[in-house]
Amino acid sequence: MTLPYLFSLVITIVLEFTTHLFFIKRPILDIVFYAILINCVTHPIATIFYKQTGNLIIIEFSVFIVEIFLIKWLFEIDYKKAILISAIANLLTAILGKIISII
Amino acid sequence: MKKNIYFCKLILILLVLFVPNIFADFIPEGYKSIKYCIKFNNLSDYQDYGLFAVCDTTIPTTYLLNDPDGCYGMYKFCNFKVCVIEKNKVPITLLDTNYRTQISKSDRQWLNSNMSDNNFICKDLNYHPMITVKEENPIVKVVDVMALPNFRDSASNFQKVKIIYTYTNGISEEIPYTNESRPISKYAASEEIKNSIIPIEITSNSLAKNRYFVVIISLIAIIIISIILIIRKNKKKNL
Repeated sequence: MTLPYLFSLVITIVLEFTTHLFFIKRPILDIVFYAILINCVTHPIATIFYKQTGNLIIIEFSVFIVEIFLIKWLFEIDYKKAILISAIANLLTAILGKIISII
Repeated sequence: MKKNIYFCKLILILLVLFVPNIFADFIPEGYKSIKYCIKFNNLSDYQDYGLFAVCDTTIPTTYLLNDPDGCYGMYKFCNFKVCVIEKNKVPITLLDTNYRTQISKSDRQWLNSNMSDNNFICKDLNYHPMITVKEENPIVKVVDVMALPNFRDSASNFQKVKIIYTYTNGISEEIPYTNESRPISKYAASEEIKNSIIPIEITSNSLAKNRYFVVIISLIAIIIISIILIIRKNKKKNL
């Protein structure tokens, strides 16, 4: 990983927060808070697993699954919407991560 | 009351944001990461053996060492081991792999079962990668050249041969090891730059400590989420 860990975590949080903002109608501070919480659960573990295994697809898929439940429970929305949000958020972060690693 | 809740949330946001500062992969300000890998100068002497690089952690990583010119690395917190087994015992499909290719499921199972059955002879590399230097330091890459030990002799260990520093201008400098400690780059002329080289010494204690911190970040977040969900559930019950 070329970027310092904190920076990559903040970028992921910002990106996922922006995605949540589009789909969830809640006070902004709530969305920021939950986006931070969700990413603090998944990001550190995913980073370690990625460094150990290098298997981005499986790790991203696992994060996508875990985040569905976290988004559903924290934002109190239905599963359909949670799946959509988690898919878009993780797709965006995976694409951005790939672009950054190429740069 | 609502103001207080928002204030608490703000405090928690700041807390969660600053906790990762202690995370192992955080590069301190003013430092940069460099490439580090190990070459084995006598790899071709082991053609009758299957040599494997093993990262001995909770999730082991294993790959075949089959390129005599290859430069091999592992994640910095790995307890890097080299394990050998007679080549005729290694599945052919596995012999075709290298550190870049994904090992198939059946090969992975073969590796795991043989590792757990202690069919490999393993030697600990005592892995201390050099991963960060100060930004003004011209080093961009470090290669440690080592000699593989005699795996049948329990007293035999890896021998440090030389270190190759590569600088930002593309020039490389080779310095032989005279003792166990890593020779300091002569090219990085000024004392200030010499002193800024900080090879990170990773002991089993620091490994445990860093893993502990990673778990802490996730754990704090999980605890906060659980509290939120429990409070919500209780509120709904009371309604």
